[in-house]
Amino acid sequence: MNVSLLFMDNEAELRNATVNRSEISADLNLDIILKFMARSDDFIYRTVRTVMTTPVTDKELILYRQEIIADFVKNHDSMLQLYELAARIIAENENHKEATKRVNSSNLSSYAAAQNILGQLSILVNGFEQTKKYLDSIHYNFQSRGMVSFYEKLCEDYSDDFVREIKESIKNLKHLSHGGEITLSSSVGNGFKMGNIVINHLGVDPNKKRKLAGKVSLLINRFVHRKVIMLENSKIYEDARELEAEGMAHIARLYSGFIQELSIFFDNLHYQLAFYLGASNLKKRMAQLHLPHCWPKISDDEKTFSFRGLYDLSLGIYNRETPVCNDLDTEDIKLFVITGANQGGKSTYLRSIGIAQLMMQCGLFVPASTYCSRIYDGIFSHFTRREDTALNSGKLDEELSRMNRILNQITTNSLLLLNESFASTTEKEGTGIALDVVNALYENGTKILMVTHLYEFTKTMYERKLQQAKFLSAERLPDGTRTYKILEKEPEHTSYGLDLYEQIISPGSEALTLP
Amino acid sequence: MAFQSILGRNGFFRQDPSDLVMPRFFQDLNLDQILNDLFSRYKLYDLRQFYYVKPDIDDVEYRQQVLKDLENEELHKAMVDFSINMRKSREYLANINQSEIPEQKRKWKLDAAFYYINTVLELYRVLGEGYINSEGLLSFRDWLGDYLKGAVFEGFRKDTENLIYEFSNMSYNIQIKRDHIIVNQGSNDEDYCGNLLALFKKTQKESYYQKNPFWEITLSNLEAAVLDMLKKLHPQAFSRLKSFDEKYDGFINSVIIDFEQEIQFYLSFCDIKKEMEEMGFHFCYPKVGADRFELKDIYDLVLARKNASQRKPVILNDCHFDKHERFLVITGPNQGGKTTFARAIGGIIYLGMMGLAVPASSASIPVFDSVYTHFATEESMETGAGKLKEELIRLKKMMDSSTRNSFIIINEIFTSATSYDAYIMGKRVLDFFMDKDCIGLYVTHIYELTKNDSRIGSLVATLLSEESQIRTFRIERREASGKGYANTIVEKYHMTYEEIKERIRR
Repeated sequence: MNVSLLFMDNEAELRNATVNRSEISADLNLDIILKFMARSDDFIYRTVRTVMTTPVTDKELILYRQEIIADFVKNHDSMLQLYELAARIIAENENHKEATKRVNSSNLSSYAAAQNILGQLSILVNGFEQTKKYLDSIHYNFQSRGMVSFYEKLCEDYSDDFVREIKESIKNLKHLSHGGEITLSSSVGNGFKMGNIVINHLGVDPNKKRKLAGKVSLLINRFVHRKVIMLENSKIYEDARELEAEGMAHIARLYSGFIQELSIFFDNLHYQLAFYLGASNLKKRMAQLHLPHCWPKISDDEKTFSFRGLYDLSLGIYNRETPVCNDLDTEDIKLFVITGANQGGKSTYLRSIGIAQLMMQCGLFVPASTYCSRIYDGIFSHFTRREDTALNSGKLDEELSRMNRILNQITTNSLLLLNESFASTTEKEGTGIALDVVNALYENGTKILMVTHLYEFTKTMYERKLQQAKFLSAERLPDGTRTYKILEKEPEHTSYGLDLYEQIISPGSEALTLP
Repeated sequence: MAFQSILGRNGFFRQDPSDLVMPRFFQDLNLDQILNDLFSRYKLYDLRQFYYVKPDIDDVEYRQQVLKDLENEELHKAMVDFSINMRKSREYLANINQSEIPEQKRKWKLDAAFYYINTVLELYRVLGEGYINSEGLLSFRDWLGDYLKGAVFEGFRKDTENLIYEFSNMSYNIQIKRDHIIVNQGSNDEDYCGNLLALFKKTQKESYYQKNPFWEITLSNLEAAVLDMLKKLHPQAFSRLKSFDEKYDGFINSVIIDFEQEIQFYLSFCDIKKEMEEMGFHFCYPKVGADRFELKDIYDLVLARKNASQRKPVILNDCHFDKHERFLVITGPNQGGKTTFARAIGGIIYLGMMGLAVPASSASIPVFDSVYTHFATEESMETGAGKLKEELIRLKKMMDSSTRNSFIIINEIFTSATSYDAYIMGKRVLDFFMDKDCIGLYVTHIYELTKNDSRIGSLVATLLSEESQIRTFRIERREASGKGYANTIVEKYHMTYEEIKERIRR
């Protein structure tokens, strides 16, 4: 049965957005947020890490997850209990498997194999009963479509009758392993081997009550073509026991599909609950630190991109207070070029957008007072890596090989965050590469947010007066103070080269006027 | 003409397995990597006897037709099933020797006969379904039809089926209790596992035991006891079984045995072909014996398979010899393309010669007697004079044994000699083979070898794409320049403006 809390009607989605997972986690400082969500639960940590870096592209699904998160926030404690129950059943099942693995080598007898499966079956079926009972007691509180239909499907797929019958059958099998009776039918196979062995029933044939016994039955037996073989001191004893054990193993094997089904169910449940608990943890802890958040608005026209009070959540968690917030209002802009002084908050700005977008696309609330954006089918980051200089392929090679990997995956509906890319070579070469890469992407429709120091690049782009480009800059007050705010602003013309030209060639001429 | 062999219109000569030697060029062309894998998968049939022996030129088309027929999945599957069932029948016959009980020996024989009969009847049925157009399979079917309609086979079939029917109706049930068991005649209709499966809402029937616990061929004590009971209950059936055993021996026809073995040549090649086609690669049937030499969109099987598994693209190349050309000299940057290109062509010539399909989109090949290859032996630790000597010794052998109709591939020879020496020696080697009228490829660094001889065509490996460390080349016909390759990192990563615009998926 599908848990379908992370994905509607499914346990996995094929139409996920692509991200450059390992790079983006580092570039956006995601780890701080993930650890904050996990509250030192390693499984939650690993789960949220995967889910956060697997953004989805379906608006309905995003809303579906938002509802479930609301349910979890409201019922945090009982959801935590459910999560712990699933975790315990999985652990018990694993321990059982581990223990039997250690005891038995490869040549497991049929009897022992059957016993193992029986043990596993008991753990899972009992665990299931407990889970079901617990859900029975709390399901009235669910309001999200996801949780409600999860409970409904559970009741439908595993009715109480079904569970009762399974338990009855397990009892039968246990009885057989303690000296019960088994009847099988067979036909003459190739070379007089037994062929097509079918188990008729376990225990005494319910149709034939015990009729005759002892010597009288022996006589009758001869009459109706029966052969009775006494097993005491008989060579056939071993054969009979083997046939019985194989029958038991065969029945046990029929359960293996069910066992697998239940194991997968618990794994999925555990995993999916872990994400929502992480989300619920995040919400609680952000409230404690007075970090604001809101549900994002998904822009359907794919043009609006605006926010109020957006901040870098990882920085907020790190400093335990709300960092500088930014506002933006744009329609149909494809390229953002962000320039300005160092330490002006440009990288933080880029990060705050990347984080909010990832959080939105995995169904979470976002760190802002309002946030409206479209859904991207790919989110990529390319940040300069000052630290790794030792690669023998050279720094530019390393940079471009990362860019190359991004270009292999990026689409026209993607978001790309560039932070001081192409700076690992001369300004001239860097500008050349940047112009090629950015223009090609821009013309194809990819959304780019780019922090850059390449003045030539910025100047050239600005002079092109592109319709769908915007130039932002880190604010610097006249007295030189940095506010860490990013504002819309014409790029500064601090061209030393031009200054020099002016100085030498045409002092005081009109050429000073720049567009 | 009456059916002789599926491998040749006039029969196929089987060499003694101890006489089979792997052709010298197999290793150089990496054919061993592909074929050894097949040989072990088909080890029951010793495929070497088919892959190591070149057929007559007349049989190339005969074989191509059969292979084309087998492209039909139904027919292919039927042939695989036929092979499996023939093996099963032989396995049952072999079981006779393992048993001590006369009744069981006889029953194994009866079961083998039944399996064999059904197998050949099914084969005949499938061959009549309209899948076949090849001369080889059509004439085999005619032969098979005559055999099956013959009185001998017909009588054998009736005896077998009647007896099988009698035994298959004997069923019994066994109750296992604590201290005794009861064996009853007749079966019990209850199905415990079936009920259990129904509870899980499973539709498939898995209620039979997956395996008989008494897996040995001989009878367990319990089975022997059941046999005793059955003997007493059905004396007539058992006496008929005895006379069946006395009457029939060696019933598997030798033509069918040969056919079963020889069809494996095609089935095994279909495995390679299918595997490659599933990865998106193409094959074509070459025109062998053409008066021109022209290949389109060729690739090397081994490299293509490797690249596909790593999701790397495979570069397709074309190759042709102009009328007056005898040798193509291939130059260009290190690593990759050139050797692979030479291998691909050698492989295509071999497969074409064998009457098989080739990794190309179209292919016309003249008739060649054989392929001769000379590749640098990488394992050889020797350098300098030692290496050169070893190369020259191999070269001499090759010069002596090659014929006018040989295809010659020489790859990176004389690398340990000085450039000037390598040029002079290379010139002589080329002249030797061209004077003999051989056709071939010569892979080298020495671009001067492409000059001043109208019998030589020049091919150059050009950088097309470079993914991290692994290069892929396209081989193009153009004048060799010998210039070094200066490419920027941008080119390496395909990050020019035009390339990026091209690359971004919509």
